[in-house]
Amino acid sequence: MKFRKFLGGKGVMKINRPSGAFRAKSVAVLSLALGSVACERDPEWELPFVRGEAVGLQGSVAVIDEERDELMMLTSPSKHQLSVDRLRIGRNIVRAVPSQDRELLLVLSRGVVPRLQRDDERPMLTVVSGGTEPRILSRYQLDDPLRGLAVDPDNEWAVAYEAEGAVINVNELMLVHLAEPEADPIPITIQSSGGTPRRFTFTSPLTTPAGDAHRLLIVETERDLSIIDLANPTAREVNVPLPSTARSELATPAQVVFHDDLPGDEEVASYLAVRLGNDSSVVTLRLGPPDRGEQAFSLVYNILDAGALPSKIEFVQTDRGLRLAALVPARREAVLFDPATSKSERVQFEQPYTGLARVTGVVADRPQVGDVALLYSETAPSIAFWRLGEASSTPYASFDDYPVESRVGQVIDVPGEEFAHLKLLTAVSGNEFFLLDLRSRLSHPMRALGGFALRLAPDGQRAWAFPSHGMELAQLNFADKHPATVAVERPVLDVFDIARRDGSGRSLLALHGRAIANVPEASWGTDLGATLFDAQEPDSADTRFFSGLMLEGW
Amino acid sequence: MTHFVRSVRSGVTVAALLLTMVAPGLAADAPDVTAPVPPQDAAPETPAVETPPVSPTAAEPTAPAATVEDSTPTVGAPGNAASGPITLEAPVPAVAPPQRPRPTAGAGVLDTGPAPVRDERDAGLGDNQRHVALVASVRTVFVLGSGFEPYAERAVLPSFGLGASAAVAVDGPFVFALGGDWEVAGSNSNVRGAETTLVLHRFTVVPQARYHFSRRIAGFGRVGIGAGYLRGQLEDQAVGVERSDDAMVVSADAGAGVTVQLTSTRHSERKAIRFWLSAEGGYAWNDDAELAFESDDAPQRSAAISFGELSLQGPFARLSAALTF
Repeated sequence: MKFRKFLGGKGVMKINRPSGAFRAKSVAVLSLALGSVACERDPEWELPFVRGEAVGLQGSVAVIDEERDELMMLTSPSKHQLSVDRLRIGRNIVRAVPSQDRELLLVLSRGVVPRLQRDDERPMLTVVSGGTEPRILSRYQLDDPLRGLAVDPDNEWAVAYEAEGAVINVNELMLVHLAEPEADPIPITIQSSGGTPRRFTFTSPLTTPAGDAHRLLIVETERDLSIIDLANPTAREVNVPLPSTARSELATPAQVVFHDDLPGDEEVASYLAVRLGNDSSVVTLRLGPPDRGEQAFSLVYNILDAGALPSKIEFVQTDRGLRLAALVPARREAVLFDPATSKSERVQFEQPYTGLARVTGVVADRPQVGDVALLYSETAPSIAFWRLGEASSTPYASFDDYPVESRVGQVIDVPGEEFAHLKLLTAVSGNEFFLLDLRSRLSHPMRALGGFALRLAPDGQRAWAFPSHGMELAQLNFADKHPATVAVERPVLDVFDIARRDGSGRSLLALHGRAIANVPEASWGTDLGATLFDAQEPDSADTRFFSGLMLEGW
Repeated sequence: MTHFVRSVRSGVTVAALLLTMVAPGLAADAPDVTAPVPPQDAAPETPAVETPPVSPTAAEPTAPAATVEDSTPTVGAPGNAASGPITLEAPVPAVAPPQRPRPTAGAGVLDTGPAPVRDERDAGLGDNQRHVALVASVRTVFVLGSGFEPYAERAVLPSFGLGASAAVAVDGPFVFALGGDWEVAGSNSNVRGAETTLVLHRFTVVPQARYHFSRRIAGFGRVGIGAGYLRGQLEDQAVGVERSDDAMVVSADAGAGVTVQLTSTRHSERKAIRFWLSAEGGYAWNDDAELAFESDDAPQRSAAISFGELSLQGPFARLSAALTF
């Protein structure tokens, strides 16, 4: 009765009847109140997309989603199909570095900065497999955020360096044994005389005087070297100071090469050699018997003079044995040092060659003795084949030079064995590259109208060239050396040749996306699309376009 | 004396108000229970003419009010405090006015003839429950289903609807009505910089059962069964086009609520335009759909963009305003 009186009677409703405006407001307020109690969506939907670095792997492409701290792993399940999977890496991704064979991707993350809570994430190194079904293989927790990362070509070790913080040890390295995922990273502080780590070289196994083989990690700083025995990484490293230059300046290392040598009945000797960036001297380091208990070897130091600033050094086999070759373009010559005796021989060239690549195993008529080297020059349009098996006996007749149309800046090896006899030579101008057949000694010049980027397919069957942000790309098939140009409908950021998951072949993934204004990194942007081609038979009329990839994979 | 008159007037007025609150239909129906008035000696002479039906409303006198000091005999039942002031203000006809036809229980399929007068008086409903309604509503669905996140920052789907219904069967306070609703729901949002829009048009047939507690208030339950037209749009930044897709879904909901008449409850026996406000809660369901966004302006052989299955279902709250006649 009371309920009826309250709601049905005249008094209450009349007295409190709101005006029309108030009624409308009441409805709006009630709707808002009801809406406000509803669940908010995951805040990650609100995050803008900031496209980070894109890295091509064997069977996938990893694109860093900066705001979500994720890797977008783009794979091709079958022809014209694209799949996006996301891997949660860690907060604040700093860097992603692929292994040399593109089977692994190593990613450094800073973690939560500043770290104020116990459960705030620490800096991490995450290892991701690069196949057609990418996944996280292992994670390593680090004490401090690090920015630098180097990966062993044999995928056995990685080293993180360049710490961040208010007070940092600039010479501290975190050595990660990738072959043992359960092992903790090994902190190492190198004993540098004022330098900081700049470059790392992982050697192949080098035979010590005791007969056992050790892999070494050579750390180059601005003024010295530190050599870490990876067989016993916690042992104190060997520090190698570099000589002062002729102008009494601090010498700076520019290149490190190594050689594992078992020269018959002679004393076992493995060598390291260091080219200096600001002096004509070349330093050789022979692995000698240990002089301290905890180290398996000592380093026997020697300084050789190339006469002028060398542009490249390499250990080579000549008709007189192992030599350290140093190219001296200023004198148009090469110096062959005997690392054991320090004696030298000089070979005079027609051109000032600046680069040298050993091509012994892939040339036609492989010599019985000695290596064959490909010489190229950044300053002269010429290449040469240098038969080192004749370099000592007939140095003037040991090379054959060939004019080319452009100066060569870089020689790129073709992966795999089938087309290992082919080399890609990129011109300094950036508008040309050459496909050089080492067996026939023929070069196939490829010219582009503008600048281009070059990408090699990991299977070693083809290369892709494309102008950055251009609307077309070209496939260079190594089998017929025929370039085929295909058109795309959106500007290309980068291209990646990846294996399909179903094993039916390979797909070419051309990434598209707008660049952020005033951001120099061309890969950065706020969107991501892709055109998928059949990598083996690309056809502009047989493609599949994918857009909005940043919205996929959730 | 003046003070006394005021006191009496106040007392009578309060008593009348209390009575109408307890029995809202009673005061309104007061003229109906007026018996033929016998001639009174003290009453003034009145021409024997037919008078139009007298308004049943006591508060709307049609003749100059008499005063208490006149000691005019009351027309109503003696001791009826509620009828006292009414009869004092009404002119007393010399002959009985023509009897107004008594309202029946309803004209729907369940109407089997004139209902007993006693039942109607008890219900006091007049014609409140027998009406055609034009309804405008706002509704909020609290989406529990999946796939809605790309289109809204909160799991809320607001909508606006228009509908109409008519009572098809009336049995006292029970009413069965049948109607139809059109409703448009919309939401837009931003997913990682890409604008999204979702619009749902629902067309439903709505059977409704209603129980009128009084002229003022009724409770109801209803179901809606029909179809929905779903359309989504997505801004494709990589291409610079707008993608869209649509789908038809089966749509249904069920709810219950209360409705309150905001206009005067007097003259309930008359056909009049009335205004009602309703509040309703229930559960809405729409068939799952997957929108695959495409555009004719996208590059050749473009793959559609999809956020996966979209399930728009969940509890809802609805406010509606209705005009009935």
